[in-house]
Amino acid sequence: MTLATVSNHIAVYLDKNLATNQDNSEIYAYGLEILLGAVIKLSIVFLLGWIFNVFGLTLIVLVTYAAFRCFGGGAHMSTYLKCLLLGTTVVVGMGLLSQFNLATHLLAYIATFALVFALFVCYKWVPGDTEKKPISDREVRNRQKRKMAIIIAVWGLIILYLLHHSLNTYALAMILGSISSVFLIAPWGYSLLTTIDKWT
Amino acid sequence: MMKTKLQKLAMSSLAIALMFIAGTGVSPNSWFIAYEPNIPESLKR
Repeated sequence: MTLATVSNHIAVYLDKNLATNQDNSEIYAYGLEILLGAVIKLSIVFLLGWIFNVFGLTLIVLVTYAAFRCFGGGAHMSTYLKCLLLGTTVVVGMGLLSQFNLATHLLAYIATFALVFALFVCYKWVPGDTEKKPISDREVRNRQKRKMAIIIAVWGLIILYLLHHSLNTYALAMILGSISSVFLIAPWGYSLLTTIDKWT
Repeated sequence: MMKTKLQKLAMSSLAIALMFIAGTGVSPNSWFIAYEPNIPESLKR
C-alpha cells in the first residue's frame, strides 16, 4: 500500500463525511500526501539523528537544506520511497559528517566555495523546476532568484557569526546543508537523481 | 450529540488545513521533500 493509496482512502472518507457541494477529495488527497510524506520523513530524520547522537547537527543541516530548497527548488525522485531513502541518507549523513571539528580557516575556505557555488547556481539555474511543476514565467523565475539571493545572504551572515564565535561544527552543518541543496538545483544534481532513479 | 459536533469540527479543520497545504504544494516555492505527488487537475492553472 503506497502513500498515495492511503491518502486517497482518507480523502474519500473525509469528503463523504463533510458532505460539501463539490468533490474536493483529490485536493484533500494531494494535501494529505504532502503532509503525511513530510511527517514520516521528519520523524525518521529526527529518530536517526537521535540514535546517532547528532540530533542538533542534523536539525541544522535539515533547516539549511529546507530553506535553500524551498526557494531554489531542485531535482525530485519519482517515488516517495526513493525520496525518503535519499533524503534521510543525505540529511543524516551530512549531520554525521558535521561532527568533524575542522579548523576555522579551513571552514572559511569551504564556506567561501559554498557561497560562490550558491551564487553561481542562483544566477544560472534557480528556480530548479520539474516536469510536474514547471516555472516558465520570467517574472516568477526572477522573484525566486531574488528570494534565493536573500537566503544566501542570510546564510552567509550566520556562517560569519558562527565562525567568529568558533562554533565550527554548527558552521560545517550549515555549509554541508547548503552545498547538498544547491547541488540538487544544478544540472549535475538532476543527472545524478535521474541516474539513481533509473538504477533503483 | 456533542461527540458528533466535535467530529464535524475536527474534520472541517483538517479539510481546511489540507486545502491550505495543497495550495502551498502547487506554489513555486517547493517543499523541501524530494518527491512531488501528482498535482490534481483542479489545482492546475
